[in-house]
Amino acid sequence: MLFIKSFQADLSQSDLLASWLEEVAVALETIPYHKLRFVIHEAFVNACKFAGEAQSSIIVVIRHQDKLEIAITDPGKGFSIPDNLDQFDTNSIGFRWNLVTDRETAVVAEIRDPHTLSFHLSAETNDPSLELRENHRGLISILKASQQLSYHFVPNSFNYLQITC
Amino acid sequence: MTQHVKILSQPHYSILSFEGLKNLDANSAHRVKAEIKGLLDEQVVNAIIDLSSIHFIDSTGFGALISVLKTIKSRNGNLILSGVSSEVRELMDLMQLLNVFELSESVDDAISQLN
Repeated sequence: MLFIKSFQADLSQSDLLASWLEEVAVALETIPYHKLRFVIHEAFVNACKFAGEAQSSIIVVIRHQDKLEIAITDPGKGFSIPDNLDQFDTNSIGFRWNLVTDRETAVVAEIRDPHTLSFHLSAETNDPSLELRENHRGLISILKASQQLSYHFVPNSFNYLQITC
Repeated sequence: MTQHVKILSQPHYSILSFEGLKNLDANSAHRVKAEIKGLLDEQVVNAIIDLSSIHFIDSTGFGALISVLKTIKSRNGNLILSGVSSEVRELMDLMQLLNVFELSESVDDAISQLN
């Protein structure tokens, strides 16, 4: 099953998103509505933060085969991933992603390929340089409610958050 | 601007409830947090937040509730969330917040707990 819908990049669209997801959850029968809504809502709020222009839109794609795959486009400009996270300006990441400090939970980011960052929760990490000291509450929430989370940067195009539940 | 948070103050506790609000999310939480902050004067030590009208809470909404909890704890008081729906309770479970907040089935139960 495949569900695709575009929404204006504005938090006031949250209710429209919720209504659509209610229909999707009924059709899917594999995930409770409130959990589906929570995960996608958090990603939608995250994407809205990137949306610079009033006319920009966010596309939500939900695909169910053996797993539930969700993609939420981000109308922001995006940026290139360096060869390793040591080269990341974490202050810049904190600024761009509105990251907040969470003393109890660590988010670990790994470079999967030149255009993909994957995230997972970890209280400890073997390589401190890979750990982002500042975390994003929404990102943490999605991680707690999903199996996998990755962020894809598509140069000169849109970026998207990919979630597996 | 419409006030969404109502307060009923009693000698030993205050009850906060929401009017015309179903979602405590990124769209509303900052405003609600500011309203609650304005209502919780320093004399309020114990508080009950009636969530029976709230259908959905996101991470920003939970952040606002945690902020209230911190304020109440700093006064050595107690905060009880009452009327939490099963859906919101599941989201709290996902966010590992069930051990953070004290819950009660109803406002009356919360008052009994405080007494």
